[in-house]
Amino acid sequence: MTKKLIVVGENIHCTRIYKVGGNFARKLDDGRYGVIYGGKSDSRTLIIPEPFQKTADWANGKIKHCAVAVWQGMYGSEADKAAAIDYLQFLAARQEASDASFLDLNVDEFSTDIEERCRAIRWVAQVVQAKSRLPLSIDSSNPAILKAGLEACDQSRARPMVNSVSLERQEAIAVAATFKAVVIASAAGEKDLPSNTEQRLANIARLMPMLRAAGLTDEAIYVDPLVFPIATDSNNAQSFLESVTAIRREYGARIHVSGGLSNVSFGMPNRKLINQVFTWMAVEAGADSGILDPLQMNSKILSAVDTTTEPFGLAKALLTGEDLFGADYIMAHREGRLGGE
Amino acid sequence: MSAVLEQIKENLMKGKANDVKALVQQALNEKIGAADILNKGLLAGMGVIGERFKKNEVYVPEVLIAARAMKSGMEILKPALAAAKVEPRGVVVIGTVKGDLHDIGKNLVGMMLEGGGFKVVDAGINVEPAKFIELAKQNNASLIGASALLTTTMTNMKEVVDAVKASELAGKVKVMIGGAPVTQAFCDEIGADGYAADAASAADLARKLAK
Repeated sequence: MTKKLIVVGENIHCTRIYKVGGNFARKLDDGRYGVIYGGKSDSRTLIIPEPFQKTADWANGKIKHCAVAVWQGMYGSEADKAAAIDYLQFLAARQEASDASFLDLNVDEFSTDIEERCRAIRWVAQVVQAKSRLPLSIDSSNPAILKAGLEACDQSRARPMVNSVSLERQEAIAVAATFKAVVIASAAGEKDLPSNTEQRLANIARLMPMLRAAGLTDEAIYVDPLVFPIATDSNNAQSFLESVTAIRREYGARIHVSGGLSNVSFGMPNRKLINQVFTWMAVEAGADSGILDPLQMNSKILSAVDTTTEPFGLAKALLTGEDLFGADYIMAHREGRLGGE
Repeated sequence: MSAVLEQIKENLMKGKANDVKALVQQALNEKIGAADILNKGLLAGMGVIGERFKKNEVYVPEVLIAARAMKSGMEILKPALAAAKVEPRGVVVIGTVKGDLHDIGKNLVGMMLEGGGFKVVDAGINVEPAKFIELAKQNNASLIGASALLTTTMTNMKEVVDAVKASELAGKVKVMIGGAPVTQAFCDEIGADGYAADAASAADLARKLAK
């Protein structure tokens, strides 16, 4: 059976990390360090500038590769800037080819200077739109950055997305309305994050009239009940899934139900497997969208999920809470029974 | 080293709360000193877990159950520690700063600090600078640990640093910071005393700062 999943492609984030010394970031023959991309047949390099080699991340063997591209685009030489554009366009094209519906852009952790981040989001938006026809999703906790990103969105394509609005971030609703954007509507409360299904539904019920008042219809609302890691509480996945079902029942077939599904696997081994099985379970529960890596999960991969394998069963038991503290799952990982990372 | 201390350490690392509890009682029955039970049994086990966590050899749920086992052991050990006048390494007030509702990272840091021998006072989420100060005073803390997950809220860490500097705690209580968007450069910029990139490093940093 073919299943349909609206993927908000989350790969262009300044938080994304590669391991230094791995396949995607390493020392080059000339002694400099670079981000390697393009695949074996067409391998290309984006130079990692000096300032990045003085960070705590670097000392821990990690590099924020999208942040490197943004830095080179804004401050690098002409050659490095060209490589930065090429890299971001490569990431955009790859997600479009993998059936993403939106390209989610996040530069929040690029710097602490708000003006600099506004310039960064505008630049990234323009660069990826020159390559991909997909609408953008502007992802920020800061309304000024949401606005800067939306201003840079090409009006002639499908409506852009605001990621996200919530009771905690009500000012973002007006920003979305101004730019005729669709919204990720999260279940965050004003003063705390929901810890069970009832609180999620109550927060959404209070948020919904505000969205309607701003002119947002069902088709423009992607409800996000909020995903928390299974690693810290064995009920976390189940309570998200229950909320998905309840939202679908309450608000009908036309509204979208989405979420940052990859959050669920934080702190666990073989995250890709958990993310895939969790997405499958979310769609079963009534979700039609996810903020995800489309290379890991899209309609095609979802439709081909084999629910009879041992890894699927182990990940499902972890997510239902049956495998308490993931003891069986982690043991299977150590014994090499989950398949490749 | 006594066999029972080694067993406490091993069982704590496996997260066997009931066994750790029973073994601590057994060690007390064998007249082993409370400080030794704490340092060579419970804290030694958490130390290994912390190191393995840093190297990605153990995963979050395993840290969680080890910390839970340590708590169970501590319940039995507490009266003996008090009688022997064994003090914690120090008191740390932790919390997520004003405007920020995230607590997963902060909770992990709290567990690692307890595993490092500190008493932890958890101020929760969305914590005003004045609340950090108040709790630090009340509990005679030597450290404040402030967490933020958002670039919009991390700037509120400066308020915590400034509030400590402006209070009678200046020079006595140090402020350490952490959270996804936080960097050493930001720590230097706002004049905090230290930054840690992850929960296990936060416990190391606290030990350094509390000296």
